[in-house]
Amino acid sequence: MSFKRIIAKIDIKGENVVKGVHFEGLRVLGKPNDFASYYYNNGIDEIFFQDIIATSYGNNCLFEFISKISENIFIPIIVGGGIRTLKDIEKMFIHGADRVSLNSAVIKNRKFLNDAARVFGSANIAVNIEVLKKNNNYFAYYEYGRENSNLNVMDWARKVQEDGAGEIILSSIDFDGTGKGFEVELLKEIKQNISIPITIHGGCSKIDQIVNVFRNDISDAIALSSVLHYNYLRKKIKTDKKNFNFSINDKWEDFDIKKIKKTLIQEKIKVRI
Amino acid sequence: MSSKNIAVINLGTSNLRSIFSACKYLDFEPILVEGGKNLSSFSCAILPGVGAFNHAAERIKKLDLEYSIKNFIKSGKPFLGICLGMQLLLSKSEEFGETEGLNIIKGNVKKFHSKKIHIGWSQVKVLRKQKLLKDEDFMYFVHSYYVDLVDKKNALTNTNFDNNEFCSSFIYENILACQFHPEKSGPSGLNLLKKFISQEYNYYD
Repeated sequence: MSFKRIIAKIDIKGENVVKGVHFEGLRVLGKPNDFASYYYNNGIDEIFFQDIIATSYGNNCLFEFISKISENIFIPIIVGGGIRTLKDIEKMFIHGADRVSLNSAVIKNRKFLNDAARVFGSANIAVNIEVLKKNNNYFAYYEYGRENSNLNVMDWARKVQEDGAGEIILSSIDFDGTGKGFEVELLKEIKQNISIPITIHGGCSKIDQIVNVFRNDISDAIALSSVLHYNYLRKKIKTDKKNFNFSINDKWEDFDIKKIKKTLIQEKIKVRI
Repeated sequence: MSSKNIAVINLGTSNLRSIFSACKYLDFEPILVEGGKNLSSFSCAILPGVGAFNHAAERIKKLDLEYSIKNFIKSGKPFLGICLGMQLLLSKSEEFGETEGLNIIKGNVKKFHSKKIHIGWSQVKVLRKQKLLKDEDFMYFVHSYYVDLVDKKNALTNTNFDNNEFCSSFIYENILACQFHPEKSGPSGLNLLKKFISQEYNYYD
């Protein structure tokens, strides 16, 4: 019934866009502003920036960067990484974030989510759940996939919904960067038990995988990283060989955001054009 | 070059930077206005707002903004209310009990029956032809309360959410108010801001 969203997730380390596999083996891909501007002009619905070292180092350099980026990008911006206090959230909004994504701080301090939702409104607070399957159980991880909270993902999803999260972003550590498709089994289960909007992230390499998730209506939005980044780089390599010397794996199907949306519309899935 | 200076009224928690950025991008000159200040020197005023109705309403009272807002509107210059800034123009809201609004246009602010939050892109259905919005334009929304006007004729667009068709924008005299965020709605949102601030629009009832 409502429109499905395509989100570009841009992981940032220091001043660079990085991407790995299973949240590890990070490869530096370029500057965030280049990626974000390209996605904005190509018709992305939202951009999700995640500072991947902010949680462990406590040094959040995203503020300056977000204010710069919001000068030229006029779509919703979600920001995550290292947000621990209400002051941090307020600062993010002042610098140009529209919504914030919380994970580690919410796991460590159970009261935090409730406070954040009450002060800033649930609609502006997303909870990112990093998922890893172990002995046939799904666990919620934190600190960019380094720490296991030992919380069962389904229980945790219910809890964050109850505590006022406006949406859940489900990031699969198992599937991240592999291109083998989305964590569909878990997603189905979560969708049946949760009423707030859900975004799935991790594992996409083909348009068909996106179509399948939306056709089965098991997610409200899809966040893409590797497949968008490598397709952007493919384009850059064609026009600027000198500065973009990358080898791009063939597993990443050749497409851009416009093509995703065109395909979805042919499949009668409602998206913004 | 005639630069238009725009008063952006500061109610606290709003995401003011996006509004500032959008104004600057369109070659306007946004200026942050705190309480009590005379707005009459500005060529346009924007009342943005994210957060709770009662907090914002209290702040308007505390900062003595009601008089300057109403005076500015009387001057006939373009006044834009965005999101909570739209809702504040109404008589009252049912958010946290009942809170009085500015009562500039008659109507109430109500919660969606489903209690769901409307987050994301939705289309507008244009009710009066003008140059600001086209039928089926996509706009970005984040809200769980909506505006219910007494005089439905003032509605400019409606939007459907959760089987509920609500007023997503209205034009009343020199006021444009929208539930969606034009500063976050890509090119169609920027077009609306540009045309409204420069008063390059016509509408026909």
